[in-house]
Amino acid sequence: MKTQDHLDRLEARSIHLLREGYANFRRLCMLWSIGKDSTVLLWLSRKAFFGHVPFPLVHIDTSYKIPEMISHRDRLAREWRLTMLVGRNEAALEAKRTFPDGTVDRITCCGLLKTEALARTLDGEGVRYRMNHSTGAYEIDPDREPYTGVIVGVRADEEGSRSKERYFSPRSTRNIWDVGEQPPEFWNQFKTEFAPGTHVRIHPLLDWTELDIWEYIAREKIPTVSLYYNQGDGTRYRSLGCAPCTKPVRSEARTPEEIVEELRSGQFARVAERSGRAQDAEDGGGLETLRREGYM
Amino acid sequence: MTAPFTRPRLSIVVGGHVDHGKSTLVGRLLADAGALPEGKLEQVRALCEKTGRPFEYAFLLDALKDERAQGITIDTARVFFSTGSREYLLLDAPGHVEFVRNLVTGAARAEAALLVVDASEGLQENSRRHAYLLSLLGVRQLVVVMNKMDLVRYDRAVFDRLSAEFSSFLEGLGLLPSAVIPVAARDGANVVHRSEALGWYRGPTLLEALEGFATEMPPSSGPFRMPVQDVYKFTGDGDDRRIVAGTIESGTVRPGDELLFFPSGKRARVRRLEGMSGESATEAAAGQAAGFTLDEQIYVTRGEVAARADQPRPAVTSRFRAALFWLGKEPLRTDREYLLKLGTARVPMRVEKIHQALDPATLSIRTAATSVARLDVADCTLSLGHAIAFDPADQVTATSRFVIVDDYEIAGGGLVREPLADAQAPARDRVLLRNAKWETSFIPVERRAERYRQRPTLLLLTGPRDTDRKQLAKALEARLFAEGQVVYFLGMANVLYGIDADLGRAELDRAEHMRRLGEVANLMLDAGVILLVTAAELTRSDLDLVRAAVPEGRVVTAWLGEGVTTDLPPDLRLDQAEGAGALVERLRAFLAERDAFRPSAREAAAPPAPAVIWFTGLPASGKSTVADWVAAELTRRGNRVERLDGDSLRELFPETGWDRPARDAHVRRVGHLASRLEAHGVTVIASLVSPHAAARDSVRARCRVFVEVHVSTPLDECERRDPKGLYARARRGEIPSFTGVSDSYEPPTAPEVTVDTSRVTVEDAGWAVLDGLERVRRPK
Repeated sequence: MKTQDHLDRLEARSIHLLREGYANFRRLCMLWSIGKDSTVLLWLSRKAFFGHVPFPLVHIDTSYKIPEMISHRDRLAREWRLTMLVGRNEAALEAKRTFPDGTVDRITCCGLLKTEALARTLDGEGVRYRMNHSTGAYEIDPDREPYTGVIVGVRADEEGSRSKERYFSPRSTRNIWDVGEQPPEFWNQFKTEFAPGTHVRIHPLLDWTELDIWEYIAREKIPTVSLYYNQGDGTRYRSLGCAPCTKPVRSEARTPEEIVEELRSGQFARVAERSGRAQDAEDGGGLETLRREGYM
Repeated sequence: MTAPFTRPRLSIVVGGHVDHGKSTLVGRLLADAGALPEGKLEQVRALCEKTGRPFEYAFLLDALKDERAQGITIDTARVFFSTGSREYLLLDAPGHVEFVRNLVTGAARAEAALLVVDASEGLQENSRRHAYLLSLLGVRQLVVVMNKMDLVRYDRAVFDRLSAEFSSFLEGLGLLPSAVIPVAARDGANVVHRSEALGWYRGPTLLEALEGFATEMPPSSGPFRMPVQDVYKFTGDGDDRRIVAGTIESGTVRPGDELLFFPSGKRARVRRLEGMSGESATEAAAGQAAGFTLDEQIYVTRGEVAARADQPRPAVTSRFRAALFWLGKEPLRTDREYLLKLGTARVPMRVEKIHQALDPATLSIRTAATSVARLDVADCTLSLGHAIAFDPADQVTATSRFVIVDDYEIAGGGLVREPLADAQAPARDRVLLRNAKWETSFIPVERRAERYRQRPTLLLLTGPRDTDRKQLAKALEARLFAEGQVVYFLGMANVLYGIDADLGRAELDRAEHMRRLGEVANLMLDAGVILLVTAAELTRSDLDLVRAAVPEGRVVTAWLGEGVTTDLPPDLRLDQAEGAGALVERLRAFLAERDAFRPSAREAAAPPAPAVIWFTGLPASGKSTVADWVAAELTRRGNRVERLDGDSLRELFPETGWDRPARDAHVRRVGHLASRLEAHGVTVIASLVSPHAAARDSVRARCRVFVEVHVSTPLDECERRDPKGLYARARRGEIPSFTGVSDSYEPPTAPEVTVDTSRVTVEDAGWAVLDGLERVRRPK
């Protein structure tokens, strides 16, 4: 019998969690940022459901995303026949309440274009755009029903606040996360009962580290956006966000294997992953402030 | 690259009483094991000097909290670091009593535990409480650290006394520490390095003890157990696999293995172990998230446990004795109903008896208690709303573990120590045998449900002797029948004087009457029927006996009459004063609410939305055959349907040629007609070769609801069929532009449905199309 290595075990646990989510939530969706973590999560979903993804993927488009991320999204959505939904905060974008070209600071911009947009997309108050697979165009989705289960690709090792998360993490009606009052989780049993009006975030990648993610991408040959790799100018993105607030890092790594090597022994062995993300530095409490209010 | 995918990682939960020195110990461990970032130690020392505070290793943890790099991660709950040989995840279980929920969450994820005891204070509340929880949670590898040996002058006698005391306490809980280590974390003695002051100690240092822990693998040696998480059937994209999915908790399974599912007792063989893209494995083992197809279409659901027929079976009952711990804000009480979750089963639960409750901190015991307080552990008999499958903890631990939900929150957990008989045990044994011997037909339960637009359901209508249940049941039957449901009224007398003719009327025979009623009901439910049974004054035990014989969750009860005169907890209560008409409506609504009717049937009052279903594919691929089936089915469901056939329409336009522009014009013509019909409420089912993608897309653009069905039967199969001899003629060069031979076919890139009639039956292909239609009409 083949022995199970640490990636096999991480994979099995994540698949178990995805299947529990699917069995327990009638209104279930998955957030897909097009980044490496949620793309791994998407891959795991195809494994969990034997080649299918039986719930919609939700992408919150701030309209400041690097263009290549959008084309990568649409290509995989077509290839894997995904139910692809896109939401955005159109009011804030129209009023130019954005950063740096608009009227608000970085943290407020994040709050409006991501947190607020996400909350309204999930509860159905905001417009959802659904990909029409025959035309490739996005059309207004007539379905406005709220989602009660949301699968999110956060990892406990990313930054302080995420380490306090549970696999199944309840949110109140206003999307607020109560860090102090978290339910216990043990023996593959999770909070799947909930009072009307609450919804639950499901975190199948909680136990994965950045290194695990890259090892898995290399092993499974998961298609990832090329921004993660050095294209010859000696830089690559380590973490992807909006173009104005995400900076590439100096790196020669051109493939997932080279990134694994770089993380294990190279310059990043002791530098934080999100160091290229400006909103973390500005928010004194780490991401905790943003997360309490529903940031992914 | 050096073997990148085999890094071992071990999670260790660290417990102990508050202020017994856990932070100092962990700080010291990181520093001495060389796991700290360069210069960190010097930086913290310098900071202490500047602020005039004495340096402590515990400060290291605070100083590292915001540093998150690959080598080390520290936050309030976890310390992640690596030594030369492997990675460690230390899960902190804070000593404060409020954080027991975190201890439980952490310990359940851990493969080993570290308990820290202050040698100068000895065993304290949380030393004992944490030990109890570790034992109940099933953490088997344990090391005890007797910390602060410097405060007892490194005295061996103190260590020996405490060590003996704690070890015998742990032994009583079934915990055997691999080492009890005297440590002085402050000066680093026995953390990584040995010290002269503790020269009398010959055992391992803390780091050596950690390196000695085994990476635990789930038990593949035990009997096969897989709680069923779901049964998947993703008919879209032409996938007709029906896959039983779940995580294997114990044992191994291979294709060909004969399985039994419990509590139903149904039997089938594993056909294939399925993968993401059609690949299959030769074996799946404990720890894996697996999925397989079966050789027979038996009906199993989430909540059942798959076991191998050649191995010991799990217990099936609704009563057991358990050891449990309670975390709820409100005490666990004998007079309330809770929800119990074990594996994937969810079932209402009551505490029948609390044999003993114990406060593990003080070790004070209460016998014959009526409640279990927060943080107590207890020995209880639990009684469930229906039977489930599980194992006693000493046989298969993973399937002995359960949690208790109170008011939406997980409030406790425990292990089954011993299954206990319940009143339905004799009847259930017969049911298990019957299901194991059951002959499964080719028609799966879901298919029947789809055909009848209903879920088989048994309604037990009961009440005092003088009420007119029979008239009500017959009126309800007539009403549902008129709506097209497959429904049957069964009066108790119909059974009593027939099947039960050999039984007496004595109370003694009542259980056998009920068992037989359950068996009759089971046959009718298997046939897909909504069954209405009337009987006077049914009791809870009557209901339990009937339920033991039929599939879980398909029995509902209604009580007609003023007061409930038995111990039955009816799902619905009806007052005769409401009048016959109103009562029929209420029962009908109640059955709909309980999913007896499928949602599409509930909406049957409104005419179904029209659509255009467009079959494209090579000549002789089976387009028309499947289209005819779909047309017949949709007509039967009350749709206005028009069949458009490419060849028949061509007869009206004999001048239309076969070159590309002519073919596309033909497709557009049919498409226009289809879209006009759709606009007037007709569902159009069109079958045309329609070989060009652009022409098909122009039709799609005209229609509101468009389902493109690619009949993807391979060319060689189509040519083999060749019913009209056209392929043969085309091969002889008699037909110039024949698609597939002398002209190209552009397959759709994103059809709503793909069916290959060389692989599936006409009926299966038809259902895949209807599923596709459902998806397009009602996106999930």
